[in-house]
Amino acid sequence: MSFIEFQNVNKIYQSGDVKVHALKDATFQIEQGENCVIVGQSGAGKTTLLNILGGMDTLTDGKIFLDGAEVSAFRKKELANYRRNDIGFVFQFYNLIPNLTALENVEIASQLCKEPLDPSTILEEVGLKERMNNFPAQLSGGEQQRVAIARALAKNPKLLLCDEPTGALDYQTGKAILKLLQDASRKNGMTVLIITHNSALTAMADRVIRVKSGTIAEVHKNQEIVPVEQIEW
Amino acid sequence: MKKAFRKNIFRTIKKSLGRYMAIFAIIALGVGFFSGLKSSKPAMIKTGQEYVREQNLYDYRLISTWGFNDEEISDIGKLEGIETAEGAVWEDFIYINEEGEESCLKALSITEQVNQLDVTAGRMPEAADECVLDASRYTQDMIGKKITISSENSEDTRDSFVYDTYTVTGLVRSPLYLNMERGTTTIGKGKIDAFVFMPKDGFSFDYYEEVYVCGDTQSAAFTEAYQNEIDGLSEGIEDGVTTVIEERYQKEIADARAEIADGKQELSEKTQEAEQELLDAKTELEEGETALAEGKQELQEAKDTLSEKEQELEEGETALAEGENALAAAEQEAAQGEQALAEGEAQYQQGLTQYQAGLTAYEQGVAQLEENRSQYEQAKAQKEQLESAGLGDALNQNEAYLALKRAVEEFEASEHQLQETKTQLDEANQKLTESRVQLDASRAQLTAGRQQIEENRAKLNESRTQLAEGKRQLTEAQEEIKQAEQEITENEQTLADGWKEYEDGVAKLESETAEAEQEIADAEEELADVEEPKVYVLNRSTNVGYASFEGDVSIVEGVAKIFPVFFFLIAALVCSTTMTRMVDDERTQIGTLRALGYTERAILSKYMIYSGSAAGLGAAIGYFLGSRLFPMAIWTAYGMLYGFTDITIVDNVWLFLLSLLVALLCSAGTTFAACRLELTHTPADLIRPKAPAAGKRILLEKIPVFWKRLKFLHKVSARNVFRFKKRMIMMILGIAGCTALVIAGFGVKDSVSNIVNDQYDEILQYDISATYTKEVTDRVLEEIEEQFGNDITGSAVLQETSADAPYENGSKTVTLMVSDGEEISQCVNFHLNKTQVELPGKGEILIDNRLADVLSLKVGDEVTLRVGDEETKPLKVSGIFENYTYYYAYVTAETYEEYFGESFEPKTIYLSLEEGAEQYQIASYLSDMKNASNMTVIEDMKTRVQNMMESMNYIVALIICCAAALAFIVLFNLGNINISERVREIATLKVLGFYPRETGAYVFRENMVLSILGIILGIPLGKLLHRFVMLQIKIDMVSFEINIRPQSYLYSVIAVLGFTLCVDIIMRQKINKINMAESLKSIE
Repeated sequence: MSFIEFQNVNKIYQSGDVKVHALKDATFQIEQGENCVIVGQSGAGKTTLLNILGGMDTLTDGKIFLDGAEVSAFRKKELANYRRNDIGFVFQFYNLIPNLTALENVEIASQLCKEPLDPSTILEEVGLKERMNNFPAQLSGGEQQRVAIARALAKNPKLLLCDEPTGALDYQTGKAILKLLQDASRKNGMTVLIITHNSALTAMADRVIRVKSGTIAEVHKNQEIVPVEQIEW
Repeated sequence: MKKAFRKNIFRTIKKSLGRYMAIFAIIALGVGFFSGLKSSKPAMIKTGQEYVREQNLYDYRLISTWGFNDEEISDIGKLEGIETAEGAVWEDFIYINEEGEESCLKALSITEQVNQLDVTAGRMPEAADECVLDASRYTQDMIGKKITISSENSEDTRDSFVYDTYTVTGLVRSPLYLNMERGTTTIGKGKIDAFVFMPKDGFSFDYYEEVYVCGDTQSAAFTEAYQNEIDGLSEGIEDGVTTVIEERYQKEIADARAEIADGKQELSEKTQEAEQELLDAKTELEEGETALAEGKQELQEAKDTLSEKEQELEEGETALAEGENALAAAEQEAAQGEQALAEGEAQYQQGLTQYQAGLTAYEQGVAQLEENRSQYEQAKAQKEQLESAGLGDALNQNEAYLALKRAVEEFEASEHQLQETKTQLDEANQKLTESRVQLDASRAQLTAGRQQIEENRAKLNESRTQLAEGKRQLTEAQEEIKQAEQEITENEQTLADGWKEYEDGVAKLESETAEAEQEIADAEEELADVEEPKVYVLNRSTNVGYASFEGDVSIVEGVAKIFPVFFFLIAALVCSTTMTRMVDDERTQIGTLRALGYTERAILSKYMIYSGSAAGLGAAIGYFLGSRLFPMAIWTAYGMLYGFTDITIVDNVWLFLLSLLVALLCSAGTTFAACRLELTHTPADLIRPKAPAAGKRILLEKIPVFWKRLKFLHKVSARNVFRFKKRMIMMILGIAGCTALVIAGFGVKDSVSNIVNDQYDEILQYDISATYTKEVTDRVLEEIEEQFGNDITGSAVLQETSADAPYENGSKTVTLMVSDGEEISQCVNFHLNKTQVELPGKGEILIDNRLADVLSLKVGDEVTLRVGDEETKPLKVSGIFENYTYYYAYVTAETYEEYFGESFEPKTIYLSLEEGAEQYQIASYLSDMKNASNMTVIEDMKTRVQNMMESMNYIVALIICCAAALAFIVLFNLGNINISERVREIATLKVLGFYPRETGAYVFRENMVLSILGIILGIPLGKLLHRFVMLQIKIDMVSFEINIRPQSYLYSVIAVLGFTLCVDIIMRQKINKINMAESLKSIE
């Protein structure tokens, strides 16, 4: 069994009489240590996929496994535990806690899990040694995202989920962030899943999953991985 | 306004109902509190005013040392400034009910025009022997029963009433007694228990003791204007009334002077007259004496004459007697003579007969002899034969001889005898003849004597008649003399009496003159002593009920000063933060609207309308509820003091407008301030998301020792606490206010209920107080101890009496306990601040702290009390003890007798009982004992006071409800704001894997911290508030200990934490509902 397995996953949102079939029979696998990019148009179901995989939402039908555990069968508490210990999350808008310094924003995550990495080391690794004690408001967007990544990494998760990590960043910074993500995952052997609408990013991924109108349109392994620096969009 | 815009507002309200309700609720609460507290006093004042006006309570009460009569009252009625004047009388008396309980009642005469009674049951009296009773002390059961003036009352008291019993016809309330105080009296136990009204005809007074006057006033009662009006008229009335009474005084003084002069005149005249009379009497007596002497003289003469006459009479009698004797002798003689004559005659006849017989016999003899002579001659012859025969002796023996001899001899003898008889016969014849002559002579003589006797007899009879006449005359004379003598004796007696009378008269005149002189002197002295009549013009401020009403209802006003400010401050904060948050939330919307071309004003108006409508609605509802609920609750609580009528709700438009204005200021004002800030930004700015507020290091972090020890999440909370200053202040203030309110609420309850416990468990430790009509002897005590010795833990015999303690602004009635010995300590615990107070010595007094406060006395000061009108000698305050109800003082019997000048009569027993003792059984035994008059079981008092105090629970409940509402509104609102503002943050945390509990804690830890900070601040605030509230509650009867039990703090803290937790739980639900996907959304 692969590290991540989606088996015929369906997600139907229902509000009133309106049913929205956000995921239809999604089936794919991702291996451990892979850098995977999920790409698709707005409203294609990427976020739903991410939400379900991240334990933030439940699915309507089908099965999801992560490292042999059936995530789809988890209940609320188990999901919370799952998020806590197995998942690292990087948001489009960083979602740093404004009242906490960079270090503290990392700490708030690291102190949750069993085997955290040292927050300050991580911050050093993401290149924020000097800004460690700054509040988010005092940091640039890229720096904030670095903190967010550090926060995700510090938990030493099995899976790093990134939702449009460059969405709110300028081109250069976005690239730097992507590089950081890639380097970090390679170094730690961490499985990373990046969700984006930017097809250009597929070039850097080990595996690319295309989503279209709630269905998995394509899953393929990237044979020619292009370093982030060389990707243009 | 555009339709779509209006719709937008409605939708916004609907969507954010919680926020809208928060503004509405806090404004309603603030306004409710404000208007409630503000309108309570006016409502109560108004209630009082209306009652006083409807019942025509007097404006002035006139008292004069000379009383009043009808004429004067009508004169007073005509004085300027006086509308009506009506006289009244009153008298206190002891009444013993069917159960034998003694109570002191004050009987007052019913007045028609002033102080009208309010009949709550039954009807007003129609006859002079009917009465109506105090409605607050008696129930309808009393109607139809009879009130008897007990025989225990003094004669004076009983004489004041026309009847012995009065039938109760109804129950009434009197405006003279607005509260439950009934005043004091000089009889019984010194305290009036209830009043009773009866017609004036039921009293036997011929004057009026007081006059109730309604002045010509315009202002309503309890106002300064009224007081000014009253004060203004006062002097004129006093002068007028004084003049009226003075008139009588002058007239009576003049009359008295004239009377004295007349008296003197009369005295001298009378004395003179009497002297003259006496003199006359003396003269008369002397004349009488002379006459008496003359009479005596005459009498003596008469007596002498009488004696002579008696003598004469006696002589006459003697003569008569002699005469009679002589006559009798003569008669006797005559009788003898006659008898002798008769005898002589008889003798003569006999002699004659004898003679004739003799003669016959002789002649016979002679004849016989002659016959016999032949025989004889034979016999003689024979004899001589014989003799001759000589036979001698033998003859003698021959019988024939003898017989012949004897016959011869006999014949011879008969012859001889016949011879002799012949002589004798002759002689007898002779004699007879002689006797015949003699007899005839004596017959003649006798006849002559007889004639003489007859003559003498006639003479004698005549003299006898004369003598008898003389005797009768004498007897008459004697009678006359006797009468005369008696008369004289009588006259002498009369005279003696006359003298005595005279002497008496003289003495009497002397004493009477002296007496009359004394009387005149007394009258003169009295006249000199007569004081000018004093007139007292008292106004309503001397009426306890009226005077304390104003003060008592002012309590809430003081509270009204700070509470609303506090509430409005919080309301302003709530509105401000809420609206700021709302404007923040709708920032992009505002930007969009602006971009679409809506004017600043239009956009502003949306938020102004939003908050303004919430505030306006809140103000209206708050005002309506507050101005009704508060006065009602407070009036209900006051019911124990002033139960005279239902509360009148006063609506004050200005108050409402003011509340509304403040409410709008708090809501729309703060909204305006918040929106202005946003609207100054350009639309472009507004459309872009607002930069999140910068995190800041807090002061605490500069104390590494502390900061490093803090757990990470706690650090976060700590920093969050200080992130939003406005909210922090609002939260702390809100919670502090809530805590303070709850503490004050519980504290009020504590202070009130503490009284009961402190008073009846700590201070008055006795359980039963029994009063008797006679002194309680040791024997009585022994009897009780014998019966219930096991249950009794202490006993004291004492005298319970009342005294007045005067001070600058009035006087207080003090219950004075007087005892001999130290047993009192077994029943009353004299202590202050847990320190025992020593019993006083001679000339010393223990007073309670309440009295000490009122009189501003401290240990070592001197105090003078008053019993009746008598002042005591100054007493040294040797100690001050704790007490909460009424006023108490203690002196020893020795002090009482010497300093009060009253005799010590211990009639009361205090008994302390073992826990669980059958109090009522013992009480009933005590009341069955001889002379029992009054029985108080402290348990009853406790229950009564407790019941009274329970009305305080309304206020406490009200305060606690307000506090809870405050806490909820503040916490809810803040919670809401916090969550809505931090949705992303919370969602992120959830995504990070925070458990719901942890997420809740993360968000609410700061709430908890702030709550605790609020509570910590609230505790001293509550203490202050409680102190403030308690100081405002000034009830004369009781004072409250400004003390909150530790439990109450605990309960308050628990309650506030409870409120916080409640809100917390509700908010956690809200957090749980936050979708984690929110974290992925872009910042709107």
